[in-house]
Amino acid sequence: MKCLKTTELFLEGKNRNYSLILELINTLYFGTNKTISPKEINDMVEKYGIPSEFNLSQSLMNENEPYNLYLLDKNPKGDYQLFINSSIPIQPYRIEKQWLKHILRNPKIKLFLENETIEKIKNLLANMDDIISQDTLVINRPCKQLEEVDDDLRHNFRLITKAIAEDKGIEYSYVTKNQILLENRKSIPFKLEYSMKEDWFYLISYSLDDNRPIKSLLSGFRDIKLIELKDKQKILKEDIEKSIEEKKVSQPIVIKIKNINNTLERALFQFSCFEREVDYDTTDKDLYYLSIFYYEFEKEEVLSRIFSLGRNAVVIEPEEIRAEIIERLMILKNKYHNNKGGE
Amino acid sequence: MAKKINKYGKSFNCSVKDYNKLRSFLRYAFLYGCYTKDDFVERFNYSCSLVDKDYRRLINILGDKHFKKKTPKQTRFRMNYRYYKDTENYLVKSYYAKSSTKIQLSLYFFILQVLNKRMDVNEIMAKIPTLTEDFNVKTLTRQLDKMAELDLIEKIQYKKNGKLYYQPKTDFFSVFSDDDLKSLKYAVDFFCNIEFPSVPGYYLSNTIDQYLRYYRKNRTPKVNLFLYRFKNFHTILEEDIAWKLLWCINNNKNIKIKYVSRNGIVHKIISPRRIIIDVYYGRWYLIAGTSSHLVNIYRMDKITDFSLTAGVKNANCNNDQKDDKYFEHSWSVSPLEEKEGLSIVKIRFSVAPHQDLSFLLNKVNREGKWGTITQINDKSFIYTIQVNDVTEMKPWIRSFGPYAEVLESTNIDLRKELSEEWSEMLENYGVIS
Repeated sequence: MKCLKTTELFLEGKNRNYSLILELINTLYFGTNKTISPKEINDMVEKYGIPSEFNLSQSLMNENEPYNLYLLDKNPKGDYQLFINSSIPIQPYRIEKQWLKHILRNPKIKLFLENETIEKIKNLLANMDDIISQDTLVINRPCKQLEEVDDDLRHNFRLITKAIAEDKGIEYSYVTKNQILLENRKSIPFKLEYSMKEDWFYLISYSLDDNRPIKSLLSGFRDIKLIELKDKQKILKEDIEKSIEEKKVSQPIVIKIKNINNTLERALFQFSCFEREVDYDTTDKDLYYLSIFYYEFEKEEVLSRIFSLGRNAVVIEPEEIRAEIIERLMILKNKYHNNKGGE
Repeated sequence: MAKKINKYGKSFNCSVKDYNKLRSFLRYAFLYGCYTKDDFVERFNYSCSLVDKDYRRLINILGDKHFKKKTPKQTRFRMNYRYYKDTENYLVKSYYAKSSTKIQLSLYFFILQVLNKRMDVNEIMAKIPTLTEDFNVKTLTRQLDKMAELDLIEKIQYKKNGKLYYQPKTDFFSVFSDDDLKSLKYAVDFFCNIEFPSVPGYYLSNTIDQYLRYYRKNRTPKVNLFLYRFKNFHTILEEDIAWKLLWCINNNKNIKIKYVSRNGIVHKIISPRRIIIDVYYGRWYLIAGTSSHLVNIYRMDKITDFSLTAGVKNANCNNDQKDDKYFEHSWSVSPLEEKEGLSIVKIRFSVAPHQDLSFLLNKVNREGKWGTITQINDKSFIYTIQVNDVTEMKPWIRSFGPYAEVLESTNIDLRKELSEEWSEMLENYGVIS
């Protein structure tokens, strides 16, 4: 696309070469060491994963005529210093500011920022053009969105994010979906999970009462207190991940998909957020096999997505999932045949 | 023929000049993941060398850990997705690879280093070494103007004498405390995962990181606080197009598009008016008018090229209010067909005798958009909605399986269609009744 250079989403200043040079200049300027050796330059280039074949080190050391950058100057010892002794200021680009203005409209911003901080940003961005508005971009989300953040949610959200960031445990009460109050619970928060489909936050934590990972709705938490963890209570994040991984179902669900009416594409789009593998049939070019790897607690969601695909997607294994689908289809068939519709 | 050299003096360049090529490759590798090099050549008209080049470029930009490697016969270009491991949308990295020339690279940094007060181009020029033989004021002015457009520096032109100056921007982040900035960083990290578009958010997160590091001697913790369930990574692949189209819409520009339609590639002049993103599937759509049609809908992943056209916008370009009317009852993206009017759908949602209704009621309340719920009893309720096109609702209704039964619908007999579909599905599972 050859138009609109200035409206591009791509920014040269964000590519790896630029990031490396920014680090190089600002480290030399602000750091105690005002020079850098050729080896250190080479190491930096390697750290940034820039292949040696591009000769960026040589360009930085002005040994790659006519591709020298001249940003560094060689001193008599053979090390390099800044050609101009000045730092690189860090400023957000226009598109970053336009985006920031856009997200300030999301009520969930109050989960993160104090009202005064939000006002400060609004003032700074008052003259920034509003490229993203409700008239230009309609975000069709799969569920109704939170319209206002209440104080309790904000309080719980901040305590829990603090616990995760600072490796603390929590003591709390919890009201279940069935309105049962559980008191004096303790757990180690692992991650806050945001569900795009429900617009809900869940806390994934390791229960110190049950010694297993648990997933709880953030809105159910009451009276959260941060607690220091004793050494024996400290569980590595890797162990929590491992416990979750153990919940993965051993056999994937394999669906045979006839690529009619975009079924394949719809399947791939909606299962793109699952671990999956696709194979095609070698004899029929419109036939594909999609294997979905999932966790025990996601089985209903996977089945629901398979049902949504309709007639062109058939589960071929495992047998117990096929049986479950048949059972549900029988219920549907009876409903549609026995009832006449209408109210 | 002599090999063409790039800015670092080698024939291979990992930067991206044309994202279109990479976008297709990434889409096939991430969403499909089943195609080999031979498939790319046979099915999608790639040349062998292009497949190798794109793959090599992507390995370099994204890192090889995101690719699954060998299969018994031939390498399939397949990318990983592991929910608890791949918390960050690694496809975003493909935006961090814009190509630039060596002189742009040098000038970018020299300008930011030199410009510490209001200066004209000659003053700036005097402080920069001669970068190449053909380096001149014009080259410098071009780069200064570009950086001013990007809002990295300020450009000032005096009305009286027309003289041009450039000056540094006021430090944007200076009004914030360290704690404010850390909270802002967490917010930006969160919203670039749940808002659309998202790429500028990833950039901003990186900018705040750098600011904290160099100007506050502070680092944001590397810990990831969040996981994002049911997030589609692939939406970012069309964001560069979406971003340009937003600009076109805001500036009332007509564009000429190259579009892959069902009937092959077509070229059209259109007036873009609105963008819609369907978050569930992760699909972007463009609403635009043409000289003959008020409302056309284009899948953005099928727009393979576009350019601005000269001339006045046609009469079908400014229809925001009409668009509200056309899409007010759109379940996804279908506009109102004025002749047919709205369709009414009535669905009974019910649970088995041993089940509690509340989970279903909550789900329909959350997902059922503007529909209404009535006749609630212990085990069932009726959901009624008016929509532009009932067929758009079918996947949603089907997703409820036995919990949802369409009672009636106008315009299209959805009950009959679904009834036939369930019977056919049973047959597909080998159940003949």
